[in-house]
Amino acid sequence: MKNFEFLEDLKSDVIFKAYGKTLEELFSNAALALSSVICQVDKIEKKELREVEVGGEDLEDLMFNWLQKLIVMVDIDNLFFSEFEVLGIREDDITLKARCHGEQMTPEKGRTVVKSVTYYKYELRKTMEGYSVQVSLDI
Amino acid sequence: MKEKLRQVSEYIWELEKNSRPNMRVKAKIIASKRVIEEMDDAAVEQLTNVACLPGVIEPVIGLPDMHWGYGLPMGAVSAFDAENGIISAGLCGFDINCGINSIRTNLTYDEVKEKIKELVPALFRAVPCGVGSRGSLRLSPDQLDEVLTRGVNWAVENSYGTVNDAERTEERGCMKGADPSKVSRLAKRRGAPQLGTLGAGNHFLEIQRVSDIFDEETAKKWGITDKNQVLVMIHCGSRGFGHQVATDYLKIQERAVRKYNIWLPDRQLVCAPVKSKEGQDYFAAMKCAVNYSFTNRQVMTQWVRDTFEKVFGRSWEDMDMQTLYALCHNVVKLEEHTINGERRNVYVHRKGSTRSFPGLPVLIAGTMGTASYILKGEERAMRETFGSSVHGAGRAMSRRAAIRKYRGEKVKHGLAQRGIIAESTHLKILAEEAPPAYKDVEDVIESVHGVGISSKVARLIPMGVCKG
Repeated sequence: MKNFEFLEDLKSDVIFKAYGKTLEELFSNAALALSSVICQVDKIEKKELREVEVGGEDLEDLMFNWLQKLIVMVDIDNLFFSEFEVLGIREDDITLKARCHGEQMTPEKGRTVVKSVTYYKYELRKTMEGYSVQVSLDI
Repeated sequence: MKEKLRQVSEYIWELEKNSRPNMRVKAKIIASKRVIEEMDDAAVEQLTNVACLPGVIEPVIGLPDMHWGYGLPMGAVSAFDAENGIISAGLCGFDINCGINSIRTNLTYDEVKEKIKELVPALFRAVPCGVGSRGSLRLSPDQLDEVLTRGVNWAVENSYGTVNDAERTEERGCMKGADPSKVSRLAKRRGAPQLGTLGAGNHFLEIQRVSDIFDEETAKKWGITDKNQVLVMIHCGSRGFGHQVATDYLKIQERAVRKYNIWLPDRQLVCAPVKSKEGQDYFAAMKCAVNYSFTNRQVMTQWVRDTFEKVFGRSWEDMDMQTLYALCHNVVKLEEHTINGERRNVYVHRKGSTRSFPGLPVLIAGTMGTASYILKGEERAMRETFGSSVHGAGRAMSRRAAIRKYRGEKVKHGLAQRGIIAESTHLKILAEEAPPAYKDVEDVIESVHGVGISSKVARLIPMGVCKG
């Protein structure tokens, strides 16, 4: 199974699909897809760690808030991330805990500014192999 | 949906109210036949979605640069009744007051060409570009609130510009009624370190020269007297501050849609009644982002002047580096318009659209390889488009397709052969933004000039570009 792939749908922006056998894998892969739009992830070392907790109204909302949190962390902590350990997703109270690894951002390792996650064709679903999510980014 | 368009005149097309269910008003597109033929059907469909919203005033307008966007197309204008309409965070979009500053100089192409290889890298160092760049301003929370409420006036008082700059900026560089208490702490935390940064994507700083003057009298009035005169254009927005204001209010207005029982054809068109707290709070917060963005571009304008001073060894005043004009492309404004012969207050939502009031400049951005335009607003825009015009060309190719097709080094080399020096944080951005990835701006300009909502004053071509 692929971790994520970019689709060709959007002229001005970016749309990707991420996959995971488990919810944890799905959330981790979606974050990596987003991060690979923001920076050159292969050049980002794991020098800094941020532990985060995110909540939501349902799984789709949780994913939205998680990805939005990542966009905000880039701005506020001045970090680029290259690895996301999603430690556990609780479906009863819709929360997530994760450890995000990366390094201080530098323009040379950047790619582009993501303005926001959007609801265009936004969909998280259970599949035969696990889960998938489709996400469009305004850039 | 395009097959339902009815041509009314050479440049005007209409979609009747019955083109689809739930449309409250007609939609109208301003474009030549050629532009219509190339227009994305999905964008036309999105325009009809806006025509379904409460209190919408006839017609919903698509401009010739219209292309698909989130919720509604870029290059669209819609107006809503100030009593019974809505205000929408979705219709304004994420980059509140994405816009342009045009700064003129009295330098000639030859004078600048001599120094261009020194000038472009110097500008690139002076104006932080790209994701990961940080501004040199360090604003306290109180100072940030001043920027949000007073806009360019703050910049003027802190030596980042002059009263002339404020006078040559839409709204005099400050929308009144901005209320920082309506802005989240998160938006302020994102915004404080980013004031004075260009950002990335299609944002740019460009050195341009005049290639054509179409309206000599107006051009002269605005300080353009010669072909080959050099100007500077800054295109960027409200950075993480505006993105966060938009994100916060999309959530707030999503709840408002349920609370006030508003039917939406697309979830992204969230909105709130004009008189509701969710509507007015957004308006007050959006104005903060508008003022932030005006100030952002003003601060960078001053850094551009400082850089020219160092490179040319003359004062910026001596080089006549005055703001020609500064304006927004993404904004909501409360304006008075004549509707069916009656003066009415309406909330005009311009997304990827420029104000085009009679006699005032309209600035259109090209790309790093193609022309930009200075137009003049015309009376006809008040009757046809709620005083609005186009903002640019729009993409013809996706970013990924452009990266596959072009190589950054080659794009840079190709531009250099045409005398255009490009600097970027990395080469991929030059491939993404390669000139053929954009539509031809000339067709777009021909349509607005042809219909008479804005008229051509001058055409500018790039000679140096900084990209994030």
